[in-house]
Amino acid sequence: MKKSIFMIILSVISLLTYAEGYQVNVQSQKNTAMGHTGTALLLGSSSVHFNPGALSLMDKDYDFSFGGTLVYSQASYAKSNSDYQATTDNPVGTPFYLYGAKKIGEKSVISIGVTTPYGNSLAWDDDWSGRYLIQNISLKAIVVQPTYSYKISDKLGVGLGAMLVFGSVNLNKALPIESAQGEGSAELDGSTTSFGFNAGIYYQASEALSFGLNYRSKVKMEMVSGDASFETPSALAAYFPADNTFDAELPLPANLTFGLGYHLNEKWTLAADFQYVFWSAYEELVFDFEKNTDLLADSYNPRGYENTLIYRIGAEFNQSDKLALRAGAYYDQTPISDNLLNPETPGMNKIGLSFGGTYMLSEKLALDVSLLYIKGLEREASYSPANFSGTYNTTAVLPGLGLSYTF
Amino acid sequence: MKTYIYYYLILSLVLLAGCEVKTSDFKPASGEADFSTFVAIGDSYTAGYTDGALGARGQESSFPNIMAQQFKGVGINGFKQPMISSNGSISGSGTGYMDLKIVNGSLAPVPGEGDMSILSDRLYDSEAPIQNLGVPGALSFHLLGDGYATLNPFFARFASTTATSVIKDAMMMEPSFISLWIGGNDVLSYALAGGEEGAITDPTMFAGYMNMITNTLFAGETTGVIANVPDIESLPFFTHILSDGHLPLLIEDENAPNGFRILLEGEKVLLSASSLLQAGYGQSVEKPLPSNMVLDANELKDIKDAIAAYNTTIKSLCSEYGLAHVDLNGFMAQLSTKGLILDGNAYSSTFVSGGIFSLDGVHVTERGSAIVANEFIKSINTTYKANIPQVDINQYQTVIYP
Repeated sequence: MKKSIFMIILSVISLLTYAEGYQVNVQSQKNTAMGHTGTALLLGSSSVHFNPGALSLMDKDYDFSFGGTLVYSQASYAKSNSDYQATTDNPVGTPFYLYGAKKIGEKSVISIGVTTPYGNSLAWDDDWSGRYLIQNISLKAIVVQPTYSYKISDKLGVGLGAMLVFGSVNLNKALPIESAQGEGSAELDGSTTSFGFNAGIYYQASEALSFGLNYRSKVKMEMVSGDASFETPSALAAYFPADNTFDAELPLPANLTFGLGYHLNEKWTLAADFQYVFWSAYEELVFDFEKNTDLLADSYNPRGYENTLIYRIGAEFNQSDKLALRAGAYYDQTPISDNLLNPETPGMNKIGLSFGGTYMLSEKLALDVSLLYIKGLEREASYSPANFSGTYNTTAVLPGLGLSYTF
Repeated sequence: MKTYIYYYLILSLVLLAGCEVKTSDFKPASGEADFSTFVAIGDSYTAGYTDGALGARGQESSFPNIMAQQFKGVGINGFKQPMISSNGSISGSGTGYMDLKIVNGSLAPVPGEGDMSILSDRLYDSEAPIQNLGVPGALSFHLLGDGYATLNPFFARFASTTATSVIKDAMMMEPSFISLWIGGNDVLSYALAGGEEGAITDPTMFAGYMNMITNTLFAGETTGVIANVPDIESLPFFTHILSDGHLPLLIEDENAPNGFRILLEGEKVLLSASSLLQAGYGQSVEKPLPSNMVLDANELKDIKDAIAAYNTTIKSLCSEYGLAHVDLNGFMAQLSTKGLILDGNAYSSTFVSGGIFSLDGVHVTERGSAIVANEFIKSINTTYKANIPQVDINQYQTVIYP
């Protein structure tokens, strides 16, 4: 009874998503309704996240917005060459955002954003076929971003924000050692604070045409001394010391987004964004346990993510002074290769369709709504280090609600 | 505004209802085989023997029973096994299932009490005859032997008469599809006795018996599958003791000058020697390890040559009758050398922890049985252009630790 059992026991993390990988892009109902475009638009204080450069051109003195989204997501698995099927029972995800911006003088805007741009919550049944890879996982990252924006000219604005990231992860998996009470299990629980930055440039090329470029840096979530707890048959308990801890590192990838905005006329605005995600930062996931035994080796799990491009288009229609309607669509490539698809992040190419609107409840207060539907394009793939293969499908519906207050 | 909110809510509800995720469906197909009447013929493996005995737990997950469940989408008309109705189990030597227990500070399999009443079952019902004809202890020629039920109480449990043979009972059911896995005991009865009892079935004789068996079973339209015989070097029963590093050991040898000698490189000590080794055997000239606990180079060569010859016979019969051929010898050799990773777990032929072999070191665990069933299904699918779903092996248990 040596390492063989545990050769791959702790192959873990990454995550189901609302975007591919474990990004969550619902950071403003206005932007969400337009297919998450907006790098080249000033849609209010959400530019703190989408492009701090655009915020410098804010015309009001104050701009606040907050909102939240409910994520109803589901993934299914059908084992290759088998009639075995499983479906997740994911908890409802609740990404949220909070932005505030204040003009200082003629040229400067200071602002703060609280967002949840990365996350995952995925729950397969505890006894499902892939339980040695993952039973359930919850990844949360809350970003607090104080930001400064500066208007270089009436056409050109730049902005820079510091990202403080409060991240936590909890994951559970079964161990292939069994007693009369059932199989063993492992729970890993860790949290960390890390840093990054968000920089953007906005350029109003003409009355109608605008450009935006935004870069959000990679954030290394380094978990030190997370809790590693194990339940095992009592005869093997000595191999799984109590109060064990682990170190692990999970990168939140950098994003570079180029956006175009076009004011067709008084009523119509069009937008297109090209978002390049530097997923190749996620090469592997290593769990380094403080206490190793013959049955508990450190766990090395290849991930091999590849950089991807997301294509986004969106449109806004100002029906009246009180009502704006929006719609959008995007195509999001998966960063995960065909032989490294782990059921903890059943990634696949995805199409997103969205719409929504803003209704002015008063001169200052606006109600923002959005609805996003995400359809994963069915994919047969395997996680070859664990020889686990199947056909995956995913869908998600994300209704969101928010308020904006400007004056 | 109210109407917009109304539309928005309606649309949200519609989309939420449509959110139910699609699942890719498996489409079974019988291909060129007919699975309506499935009969399994063989020895203890086919019967569902595990942890050193036969009981309902092992029967439920016998590889033919798992195959029969997977045949449900391709027209099988039920599959009846000679189920043990008690909670008990029974081995050929009267013991019951082994349990892993802590003995003198370390884990060891301990045989439980056997339920002898199981062997008094008489389960034959001409209306619904038993389709799993796996008989623990059976050698190739036993399948052909009239009156085998009088020699083997496991067969007596479900034989149609005391005078019948396993093959005759099989043919009475007019099977459309047969699985056959026999030949293991043709070497094991010798190997398990350290080469001091029993005999290896002569490969020429084995070929003759197998010809008679297949000619009877597959003369007509009947389709089927035959598995070959794993080399004993793949079984933990023959590899475990020395893997723990017991050399040098003193063993009995009537040809040695003083009646004992040192164990030589390449010789095998049986798992059944565990308790003798604990009692100090093999460590002093007063107590050399008995020769029936050891397989020497000659004995091992005889066993290896016989298995190779059996497997050549089995392979050529499969070709001759157009049957699916399962290379379990190759499969278990891979398991014992490189190991296998299947559906998120690593397997090997390591005793107890390897996951596939049960506590007796010869028979498979329930999960091992599901893995074997998948090997059969893969071969059937290829040979008969069928599409039978493989089973999810992770539904089946492995070794239970205390």
